[in-house]
Amino acid sequence: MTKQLLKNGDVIDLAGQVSADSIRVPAATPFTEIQTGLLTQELKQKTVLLEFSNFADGRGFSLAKMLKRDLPSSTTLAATGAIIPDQVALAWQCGFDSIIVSDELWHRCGPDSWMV
Amino acid sequence: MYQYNEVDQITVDDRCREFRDQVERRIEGTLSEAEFKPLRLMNGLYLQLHAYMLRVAIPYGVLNSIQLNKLADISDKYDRGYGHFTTRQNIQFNWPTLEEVPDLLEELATVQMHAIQTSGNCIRNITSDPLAGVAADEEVDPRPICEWLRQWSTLHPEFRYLPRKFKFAITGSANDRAAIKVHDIGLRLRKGPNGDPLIDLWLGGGQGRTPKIAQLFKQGLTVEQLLPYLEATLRVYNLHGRRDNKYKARIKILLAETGLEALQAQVQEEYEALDKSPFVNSVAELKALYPHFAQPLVDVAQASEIANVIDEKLSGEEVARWYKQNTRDHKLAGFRSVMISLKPAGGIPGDATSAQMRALAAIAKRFSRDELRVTHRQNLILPWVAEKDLYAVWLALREIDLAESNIDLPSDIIACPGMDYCALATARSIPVAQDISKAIRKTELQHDIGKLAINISGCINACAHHHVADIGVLGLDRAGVENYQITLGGRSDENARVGERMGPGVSADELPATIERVVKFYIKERRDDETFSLTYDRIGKTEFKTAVYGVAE
Repeated sequence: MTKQLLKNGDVIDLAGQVSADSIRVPAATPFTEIQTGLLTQELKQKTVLLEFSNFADGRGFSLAKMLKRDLPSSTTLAATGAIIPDQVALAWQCGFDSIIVSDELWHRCGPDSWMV
Repeated sequence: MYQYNEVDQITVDDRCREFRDQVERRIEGTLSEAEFKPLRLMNGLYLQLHAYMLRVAIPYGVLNSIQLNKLADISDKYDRGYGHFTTRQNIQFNWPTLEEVPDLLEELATVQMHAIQTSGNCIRNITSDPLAGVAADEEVDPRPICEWLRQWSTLHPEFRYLPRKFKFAITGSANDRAAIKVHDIGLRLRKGPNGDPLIDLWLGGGQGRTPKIAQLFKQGLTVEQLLPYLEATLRVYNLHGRRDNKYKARIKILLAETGLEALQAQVQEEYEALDKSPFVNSVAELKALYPHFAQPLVDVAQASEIANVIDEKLSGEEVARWYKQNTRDHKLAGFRSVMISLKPAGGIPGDATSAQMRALAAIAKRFSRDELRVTHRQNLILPWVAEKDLYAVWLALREIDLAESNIDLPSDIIACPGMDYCALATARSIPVAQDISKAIRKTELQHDIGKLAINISGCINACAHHHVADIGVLGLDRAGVENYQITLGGRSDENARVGERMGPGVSADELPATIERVVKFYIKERRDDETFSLTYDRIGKTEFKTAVYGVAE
C-alpha cells in the first residue's frame, strides 16, 4: 500500500490511486511550462504531485519553492517518485505539504527511517 | 575567530547522528550504495584507490590551536600520522574505515569542526584570502561575509542536489589571493558608502577539463541584496544546469550555453519574484558576526620599540632570507604574518605530521593569537605575529623543520594526491613534484628566480590548478605510460587567465629537466623584475615552446 507522509508526522495508507483530482508533474518539467499548464487548468487541482525521477536530481526542491508562491493555498503540493528518507526534512523545508512513498521504497528503506 | 553558537553546535551534532544512522543503514543494506554515495560525499567521505578518504572543512582556512591539536590526534588515530592540506583550504585524512568515520566526526564536532559539504553536488566549503583581516593591502575584511555565507549555505535544503559541485571564493583586496575568478562564484568586496561593503559577483569560473575565467555578472550588490541574489542564482542553476553530462554540469557551461545577458536576465527575474521575507533578519545576523572578527587592541609603541632591538637578530643570513620570503606586511603596525612552507626538500606538498601539527598549535597559541590559516597553495600562516616575536617563531619553526624559506618560489609546488591516492588520477603527482623540486633546488637559484608558481595535477580535473600556474603540469595516461603536458603563462590572481598548452607531453623522466629549461629560459630573457607571465607575453609561445622541448640550445 502506498503511504502518504504528512508534515506533522502522520502517515496515511493510500489504497489504490492517489487522489482523482490530482495532477502529476515530472520534476524535470521547466517551470514556465508548469506555470502555463496549471493556469490553463485554472489551478483547480487539489493536489499537485511533483514526481522525482531520480533522488540525486534536486530540481524538485527549487520547483517546490517557486510553485508554492503561485499555487492557491487550497492546493496541496506533494513530492513523489524517487525520494529517499534523507530528503524528507528537505522536502518540508522547501514547501512540500506531503510525500507519497511507494510500498516498495517504504519497506526497503525501513518504515522507521521515514519518520523524521 | 568565529565561535559556534548553540544552533551551530546542534546542527553539527545532529549531522553526526544522521551520518551514523546512514552508515548503519548502508551496512545493514536498507540504503543502496547508489543512495549512500551522495550522502557520504556530502559528508566529505570519498572512496579512493586503496581506502576511504575524509575531507574535513576548514571554513575560509581559519583554525585555532585546539582544532589543530584535534586534527593531530585524528591523524594519529585514523590516518598514519599525517594530515594533507588541500587547495581548498581543507585537510584530508586517508585510510579511515567506514565504520569508524562516525566516531571521527564526533571527535571533530567537539572542536567545532565537521566534514559537511566538503564534497558532493552542493555548495562546498567557502574559501577566502588566507591573509583575510590581516593583509596590509586589504580594503574589506571578508571573514564576516565568509562566515555569513557558510551559515547560509550549510545544509541549505534547496541546494543539496545541484547538477554539480558549487564553489565560492571571496576576497576583500584588489590583489586577489583567493583565485576568485576560477570559482563558480567569486565575490570581490569593496568599501561601500555607509560602512557596509558593496559586492561584485563574478560567475562561471572553473578549471577541470573546460577551464573558464569568471565573468563579471553583477556589480555592486548591497549586503541586503546579496543572499536573495545568491539564492536566485543558485535556483536558476539548479533548474537549468545540465544534468545529462557531468562534464558539462558546472555553472560555467550554463553561462557559456545561455549567454551572459540571458542568464543575468533569468537570475534578475527570479531575484525579483522570490520571497524576501526569510532574509529580513539576515543583515542583522551579518552585523552580529562582526565582533567575532574585531581587530585586537595593541600597544603599537611597545611592539615597534622592541622590534628595533630584535632587528639585529634577524640580520643573520638564513633568518633574513626567511623574513624576506616568508613574512608579509600586516594591517597592524608592529605585526607581520608568517607563512609556513609545507614544501620542504623531499617532502609531500601540503603534508604535515601530527608532531608538527601539535608544535604549530603551541606556536600559534603563544605567538599568533591562537590562530592559523591554511592557504590554497597548501601552506599555513601564523597571521598575528608581533615583530618582537619573529626571531623566536623562526627558531621554533626551524625546530620542527618548517622554516623553509621558499614561499611563492619555484619549489613551493602545488600538487594533488595523484595516482598515489586518488581514484580519478591518471598519473602520479607527488613523486613528480618531489623530482622537480629537487631539480630546481640543485640550481640553487631559487631566490634569484623569485616568484614562480608550478602546479601539478594528476588528471584533467585540475585539483592542483595547473591551468592557472606560471608553469602548469598535467599528468595523463597515454597507453599505460605517464605523460605530462605543460601549460605556460596562466594566472590565478586579479588578472586570472588560463595558461597555453605547449604541445605533446613529456615523460616523467624528462619532466624535471624540461621545467628547468623553461625556468632558465625565463631568467635569461626577463627584464629586471618582470614576472613570468609578463615575460611570456612579451616573448611569446613559440620561443617558450622551444625552451620546453630544448631544441635550439
